[in-house]
Amino acid sequence: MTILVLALAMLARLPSPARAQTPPGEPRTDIASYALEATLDAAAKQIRGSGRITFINTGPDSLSEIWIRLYLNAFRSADTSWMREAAGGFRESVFDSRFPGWIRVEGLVDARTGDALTLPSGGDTGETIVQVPLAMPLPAGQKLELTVRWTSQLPKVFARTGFAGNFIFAGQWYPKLAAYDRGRWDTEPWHANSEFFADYGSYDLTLTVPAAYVTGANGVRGSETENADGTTTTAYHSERVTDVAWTAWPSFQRLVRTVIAVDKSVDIELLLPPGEVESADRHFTAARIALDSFSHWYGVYPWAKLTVVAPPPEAAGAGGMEYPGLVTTGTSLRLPFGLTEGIRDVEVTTVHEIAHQWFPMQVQSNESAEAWLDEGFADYLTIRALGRTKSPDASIVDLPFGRLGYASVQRALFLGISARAPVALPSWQYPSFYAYGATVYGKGSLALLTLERQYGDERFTAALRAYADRWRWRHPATADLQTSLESSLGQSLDSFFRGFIRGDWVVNYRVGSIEGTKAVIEREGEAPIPVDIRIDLADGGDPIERHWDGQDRRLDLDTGGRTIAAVSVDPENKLLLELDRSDNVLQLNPSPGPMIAAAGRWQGMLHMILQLVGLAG
Amino acid sequence: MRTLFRAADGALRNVVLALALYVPGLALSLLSALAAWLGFAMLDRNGNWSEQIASGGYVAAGVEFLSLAKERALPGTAPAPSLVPAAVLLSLAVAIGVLGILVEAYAYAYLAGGILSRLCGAEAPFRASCRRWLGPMLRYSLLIVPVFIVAIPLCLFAAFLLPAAGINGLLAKIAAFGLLLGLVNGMLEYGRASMVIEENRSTRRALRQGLGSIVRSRTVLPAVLAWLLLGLLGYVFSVDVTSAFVAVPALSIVPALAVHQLAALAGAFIKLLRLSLATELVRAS
Repeated sequence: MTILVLALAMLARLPSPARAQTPPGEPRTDIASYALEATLDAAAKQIRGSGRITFINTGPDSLSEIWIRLYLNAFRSADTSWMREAAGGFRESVFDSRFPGWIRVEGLVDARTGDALTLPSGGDTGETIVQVPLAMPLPAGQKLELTVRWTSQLPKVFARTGFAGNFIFAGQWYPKLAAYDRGRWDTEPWHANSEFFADYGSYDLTLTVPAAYVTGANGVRGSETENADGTTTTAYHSERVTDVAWTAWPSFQRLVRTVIAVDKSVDIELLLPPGEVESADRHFTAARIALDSFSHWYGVYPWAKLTVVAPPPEAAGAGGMEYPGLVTTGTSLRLPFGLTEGIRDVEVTTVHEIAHQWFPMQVQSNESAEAWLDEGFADYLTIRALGRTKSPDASIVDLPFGRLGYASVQRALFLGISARAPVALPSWQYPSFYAYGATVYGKGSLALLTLERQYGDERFTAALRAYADRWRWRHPATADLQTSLESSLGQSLDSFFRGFIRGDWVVNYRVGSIEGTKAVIEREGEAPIPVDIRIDLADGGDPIERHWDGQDRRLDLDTGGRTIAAVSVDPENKLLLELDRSDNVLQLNPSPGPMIAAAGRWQGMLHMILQLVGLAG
Repeated sequence: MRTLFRAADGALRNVVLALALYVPGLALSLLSALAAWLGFAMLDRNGNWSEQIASGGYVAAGVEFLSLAKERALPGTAPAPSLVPAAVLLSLAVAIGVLGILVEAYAYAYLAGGILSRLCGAEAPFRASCRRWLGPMLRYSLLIVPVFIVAIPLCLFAAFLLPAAGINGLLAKIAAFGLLLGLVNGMLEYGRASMVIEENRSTRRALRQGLGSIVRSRTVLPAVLAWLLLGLLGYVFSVDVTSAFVAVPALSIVPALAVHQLAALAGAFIKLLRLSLATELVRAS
């Protein structure tokens, strides 16, 4: 291991990218706060909202403008720039232009002066982000208070938000300040492959819906009032968060359990469709394992409650998303022959989304500009957490006749699509959703897994914990991650980040030949990653273990007179970013037992199939 | 019910004929397994892949054989030398399995004449009867293909009209499909049996006999009941085979092989029972 680490250090011969800023002082978690009142018009699928937004200028300069995000305008028609990028579809959902979404700001007032602020097109714009000039500049360190009124039209469920029948999921539903970070506004429009980025603040939501609806939102559930008009108003409050989302549906089944995650009590609130209640234990267990694992590894879950929402199947487009203190997941696949429990689709989604409660909900990187810092992290965390409960090679499918680990899914994405794609690209620069997903989720998580296996679980976990502690409630970038990891690990990771994260390097090792007492290992590709080598001897003696720094293209091995039986490169499967593992081993006389057993099983299965087909026809 | 008992008795007294129905599948699967074994032997030169594949890790193993990805990322590089022959041999094993369905159908057509003759008490040697009836049985097998092409979607449609939901509902629909298909199958086997019993080599007539068997007043009730019961048996067998697919891989190789062979033998016996029942129904009509 030490040699591996030293060899990694040797990779640091190339010039560094620009160093990151160090985090300035104590983090502020009151930069952008919202007190919102929302009333659902259940018939029109509209939200009528009003509220107060406060913003503190944490930059060094006076501000003469603010930027406001109006996400729902992405779904105004099939012709928006967002929709053109998405080609009318998002994941498995197709946009139904008969049920568009939009947001119209009907009033925005600067409470300091009482001046109405002017939005483009009088607030009824088609843009997803707008610039709003301030009548009076906002000096550095000062607070701006805005009052706002608006109407949001929810689309038919699409890209995380909307309605399906009387099911409502309201995400990205209110006028929201863009993030102001490191002295500048994040003015990038919302893109089809992009998620979100915001400053921390407190959120007070007062939600009014028809009385028959069961609601859920992030934050602590406060007072609930039954109104004379047949509606119910529920208050939610959350702090140190970047967003608020809510859901409402008459058919929700609400279940609550309290779990302890590293000595902290957390209420897990499940909101499930009626048919999913029998799988409630699976949801609770996944949530508990995720909360406990991530709290141990990266710091205690900071909020009192976690809401897990499983939208009904007709609203699946709202599933698989994260908000601070609230995640949406999926419903479990129902199969006969006792197969349901062996397919851990619910667990994967739930654990992945809960991983986001750390990255980016606590360590708020820019999900749009550097999506791998949250999606790659979330999948890496998912691989780790699922591996705690199941064998890592059976973490998502564990059936008697087949198994599959989540890391293999990422390997398939990496090998099939993203081997040469840079990980740290802005999400909108990827040529397709598949390229984005395979790179950001797949290659991103494998990069972290490779580092973990190179440096060891304990050491790398401590390094990521230090990164999380250093950047919690702040906005780190990839360079900040690199600096933090290098500081913790005591090694330069310049070559690794330059080659695999920002660049398009690849690597492959292969056993070229074995001849008697000699063997040849070859390296293909640009990346000189250090690697372990094991030589098995024909005389049955202890294997010879070597480490190679991979700096040269070829390594000649000589056992000094002992005949070689087999040579393995990377026998412990540490290099998850390697291109081809099928040439990592060469053995001259493989054991016949496994191959006979495999052929025997094949024979038996085929014979049964032939009988079955013959019986049917 | 008496017809069914007589059919079972006939099948049990000639149980050795089930072995004849068992052997073609065994031979084909052994041939396929030989190719698979050679493929695994090539594959294992590059690691313990066959162990991973046999223990259920075949998808993960398959991911690692995406060597085209390497060629795309690193043009000019080649896969491991043993990978190509291994892929060819394993593909051959699969191809034998797929083609085996046709060979199995041929073998059934060959054996059916001999088995039906024996069930009728004919004195002629078994192989001579097989050869004698091979032509008509083959033609009959081809003739009933369109019947199946029409019947399978109709049975599926009818089964899925059942007002049942959830996993149990799905299983009920599959069971209904199995029963309906069993009924169609039985009618067609009736036609096959009628050729041998009535010594008539006309396949069109046999098909008419078979399809008409269900509406003939003397045989309608026993025929429908018997075929539905046999269809139920076939369904139970299919469920058991599926369950075996699910459960057997968890067993070690010797009990796994034993379960596979027992299941295959049971399938062969059900085919024999079906022919025996067809014989009894033709006699009864």
